[in-house]
Amino acid sequence: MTRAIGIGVALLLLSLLLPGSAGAQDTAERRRVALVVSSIDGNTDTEDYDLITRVFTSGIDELLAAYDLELGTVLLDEQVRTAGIELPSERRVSRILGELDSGDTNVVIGVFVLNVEDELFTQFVLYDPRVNTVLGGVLTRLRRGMNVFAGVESALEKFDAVVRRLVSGGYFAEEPQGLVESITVRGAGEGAEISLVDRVVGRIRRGELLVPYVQYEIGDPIRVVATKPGYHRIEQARELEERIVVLDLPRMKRKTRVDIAARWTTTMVRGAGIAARFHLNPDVLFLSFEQYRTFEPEPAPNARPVYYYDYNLGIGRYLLFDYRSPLRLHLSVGAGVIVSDVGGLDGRDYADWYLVMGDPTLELQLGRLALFARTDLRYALGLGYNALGRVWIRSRGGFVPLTAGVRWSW
Amino acid sequence: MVMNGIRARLRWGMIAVVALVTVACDLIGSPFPRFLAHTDRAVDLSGAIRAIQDGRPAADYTLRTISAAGGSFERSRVLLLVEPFDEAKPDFGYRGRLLILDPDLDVLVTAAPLNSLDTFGRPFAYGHDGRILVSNSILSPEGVTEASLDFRGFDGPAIIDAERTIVFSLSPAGASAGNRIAWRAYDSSSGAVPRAWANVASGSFPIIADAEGSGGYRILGAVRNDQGEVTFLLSEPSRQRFVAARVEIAAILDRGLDSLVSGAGAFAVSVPADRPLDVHIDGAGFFLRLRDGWFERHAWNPSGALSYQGKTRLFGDRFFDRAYTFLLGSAVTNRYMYRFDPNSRILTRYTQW
Repeated sequence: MTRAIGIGVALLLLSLLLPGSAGAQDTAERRRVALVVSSIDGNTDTEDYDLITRVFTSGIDELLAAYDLELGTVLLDEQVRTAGIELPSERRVSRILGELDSGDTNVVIGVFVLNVEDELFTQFVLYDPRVNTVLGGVLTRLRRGMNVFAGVESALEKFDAVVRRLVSGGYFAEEPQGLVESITVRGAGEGAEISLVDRVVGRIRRGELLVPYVQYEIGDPIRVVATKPGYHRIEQARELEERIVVLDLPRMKRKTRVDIAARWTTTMVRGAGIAARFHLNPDVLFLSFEQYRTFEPEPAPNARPVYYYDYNLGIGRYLLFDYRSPLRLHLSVGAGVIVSDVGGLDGRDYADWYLVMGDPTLELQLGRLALFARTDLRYALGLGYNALGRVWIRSRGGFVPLTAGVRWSW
Repeated sequence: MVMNGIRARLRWGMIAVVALVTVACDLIGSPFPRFLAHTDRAVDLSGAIRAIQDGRPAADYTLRTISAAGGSFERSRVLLLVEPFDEAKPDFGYRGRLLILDPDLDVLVTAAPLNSLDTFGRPFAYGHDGRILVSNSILSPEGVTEASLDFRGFDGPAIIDAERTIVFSLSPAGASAGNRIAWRAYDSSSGAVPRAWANVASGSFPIIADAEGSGGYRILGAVRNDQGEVTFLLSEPSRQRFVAARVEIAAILDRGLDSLVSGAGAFAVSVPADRPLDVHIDGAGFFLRLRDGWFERHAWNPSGALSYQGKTRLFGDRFFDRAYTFLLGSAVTNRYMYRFDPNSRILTRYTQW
């Protein structure tokens, strides 16, 4: 059985001892050290894990004391998990170093060990969090069991040389020039999958995503793509203009599959209508079904009430402005019929079949809600027993009918 | 000054409100004619028309009403003339048939001309003996074609005067426009069986005394009132107007009429209108269907010196294939509009227009 146990060790604030990297640091601060004990693969349930942790902690403490350094923060696996650093094994080392809160320290020494069967592979790392740079390190192999004490001592002896070099100012870290240090993507939508240059880099959580480090130069153009099922894809070409880049993406818009509407038209003032649209291509191409009817008051004594029922089917397309625009324009064509039901006259309803030759519609988008107004260009065909004949359907005054309404989409 | 300013603002405000209301009314008016609410009854004539067409794909339709002397509603008839044709295979045979319906739209009979030389067309009228005159065919009240008039081509209106039927036409008969009206009076004195009408008098008179420079007139209709006066409705295409004049029938029959009016400017009624699609005349005025599809009602006084009473715009129907006619019985409840729709072949009656 293969077991892997990782042990993370030590964050040391040694800026006092690092004239090349620490600059003008306070002496007290330079002596403080933080220690992290962590398993690379997260497996801390082994019998001797606690023992190994204590051995390394004790050994590191002694090592630091020899150089007049103070062990400060101690961060164990459990605390790493509490800090929310949950990562795949292959990224664990860099992510722990990159994301932990090193407090008032500015140099890190870390050791990572992988347990394979009876062996412990231990890596000590010297890390400067101020410039996110590994300064140096040692890789050792130990045998488990009682030999582990001797092995740890041997490993610490090797690491002693690294610490000594650090104390003597042997390491020099310099901030990288011209490179992008971090990229954060914000906005889009919760759970949106983000790709940079065709490579998926993660999902938006709590409104943002810190992109895992990839070396880009400042000024590089980059293509950002956000995708989420049921939402419109966002694709932008951006330029990495600074060392710390924040890419604010617009909020993703839900793809409209179906919408319903209530409407009113000027040529049938005592009426109301409903409509439904089914989007073949969300927010672009749709099929529509509309129904309208009138509610006639009590007729004159010598007249009958006439109820109008208007049905039509159409296919339409949004034009010019994309789905993000607050004002949109669409056009439909189709066919329909207006049934004029004369009250009390059975079996002789007038039916005016017509073609929808176009209905230029202006739409004001308010999220899922939209207000619209349109002109109805309809040509009555004069088929069958009809009332209008073969004419353009217009108001009695000759105006093209105007329709206004409100639409709800989901 | 201040008051003047307020008045000016009020005036402009009123103008704006009126304009706004006018536009709004035009904007919100229903495209459907108001008479739909007065749909009274309808009859599907598809079967009868198919039988008349006998496989021919198309037909012309003429819709008229006729009223008997005395205005008996029960004896009023709705006449639908169906004249089939086949443009692909034209021939000279006349296949027009007349569907005769009572005012309640019950089909009474389908009438045919008496012989192959006769055709149906104007005039459509009751004659002095209660029989029906259609073109030169005389039909029984039941719609059986019984006889033909001796003189063909008189395609103007017909009126009843005592025991005579008088038919008018432009002179010479068949002219598209002219300045002279010819008339022929018929009675039942021939005694032939079946009884034909005998032409007992004829004559003509000019429409205006001096026709110099006139483009001529067409006869659109004539109606006689109980005071023995006949009112002629004419169109004058060259001046794009309708004109009307009223004379005593006795003056026509006595040949004492020098002219209908003294001159082109002497018509008591003059309505500017281009060539009409249809005209229906009655004692109180006429219905005019304009070329844009609008129907207008023009009114005149029923008797005495003719005077124009004004016009009312009724409704528009730009479907020009549809045929309309009107029946104005003596009682208010007997006033109907009939509409024949050639697409559906349905004839509908409305109680109001």
